Amino acid sequence: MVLSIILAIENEDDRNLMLYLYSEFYGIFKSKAYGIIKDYMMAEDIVQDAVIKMMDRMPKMRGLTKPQAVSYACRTVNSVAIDYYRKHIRGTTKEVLSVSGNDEFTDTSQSPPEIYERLEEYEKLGEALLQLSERDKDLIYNKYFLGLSDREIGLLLEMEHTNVRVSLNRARNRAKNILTKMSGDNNA
Amino acid sequence: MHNIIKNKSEYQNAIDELVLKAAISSLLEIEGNKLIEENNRLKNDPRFQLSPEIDKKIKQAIRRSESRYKFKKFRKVAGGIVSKVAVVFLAIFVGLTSTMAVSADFRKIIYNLILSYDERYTQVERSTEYKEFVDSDVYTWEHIFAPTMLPHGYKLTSVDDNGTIFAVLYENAENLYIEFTQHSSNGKFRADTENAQKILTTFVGDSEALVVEKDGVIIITWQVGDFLLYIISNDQTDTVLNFAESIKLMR
Repeated sequence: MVLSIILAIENEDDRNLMLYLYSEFYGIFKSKAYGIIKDYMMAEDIVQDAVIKMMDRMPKMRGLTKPQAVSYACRTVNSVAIDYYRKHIRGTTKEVLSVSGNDEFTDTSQSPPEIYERLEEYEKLGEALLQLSERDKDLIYNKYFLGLSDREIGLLLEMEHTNVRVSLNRARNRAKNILTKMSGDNNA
Repeated sequence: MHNIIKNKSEYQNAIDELVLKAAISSLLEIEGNKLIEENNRLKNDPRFQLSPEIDKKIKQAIRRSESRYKFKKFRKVAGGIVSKVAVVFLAIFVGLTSTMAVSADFRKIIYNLILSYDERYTQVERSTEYKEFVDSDVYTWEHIFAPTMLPHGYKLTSVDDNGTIFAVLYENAENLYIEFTQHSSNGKFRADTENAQKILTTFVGDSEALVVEKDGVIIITWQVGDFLLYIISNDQTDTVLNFAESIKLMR
């Protein structure tokens, strides 16, 4: 069914992008879904739902590089899988929700913000943020990278949109703290 | 740090935000590359693969789309075939043709095509022996062209008939394909020959055809009467030319 839906995408570039992502990275998508749902058949359905969800965001995905698009797609699969879990499997396992959460990150701020200027290497910046929780990364990606509104993020991450702003501020501060700490370590 | 940032100027906040965005962009890239590696490792695990049927359909769709893209590019730069009273005329748009400026061979070919126009394009023999055609039941248009020979191993895999364009895709087990498309030529035909490995003209039946080979794909286009015909394939040139030669008017 999802193939018919993809083929019906009017914009040829969008259609090709979705076909490419779906066919080339189906393995990792299904693997991510299976990691949460633990059911192969269901994981397949999750991937299809995630693809349909991604189609709503095609304009925002157009500017992504291949790794970024794959990363974003996997995040969408994760969120759909978690959503499914919440609605249908909740209570049967606890591990699933560990994918997100971790809102109690310790504030490690020590150094002045000027030190950001010394962080010149793009990759190091990204590596530093690997320390963030998946939840924080989801929030930050959706807000800063894809420019989604609080309401859209709320829908995507199953949060009340009124809580999105608070969670996002916390996530952003944690990210800045990590960058600051990293810079401080480098300068020590 | 919270307080420090709060007390900083807007300028500093803006820098903070930019650094954060750069870090996020980099993080997405890093994670994506890891996921791509993980995906490659999963390629041998049947539990995480598309069914062969779906995979084939997707590959066909992608291939078809790529063929169209190549054809669009192919049409992009050079001349024009205007079909009026079954006359082929290639118009050159020098203003738009960066390729023309760098491709003397191609310019020569286009000039030859223009100068060699004659009445032969109107001389189309119609065959009524349907049994000589390949997949004759598929070709349902009035005055339609169909192949009478299919290279060994090829099978019909898809037909796309949108009312103005009729495209048929043949594929073999070695992932080679031949896509044959025909439609009424409406307006200008342009060819992108930039960096093409081969550009030449030949005859397909009584019509002069333009053959362009680029990036492992061969495109043959020619005009018969009101129809613009073209073939896109990744098979050998001779094979594709033989297939083109076999195409005849069936109705």
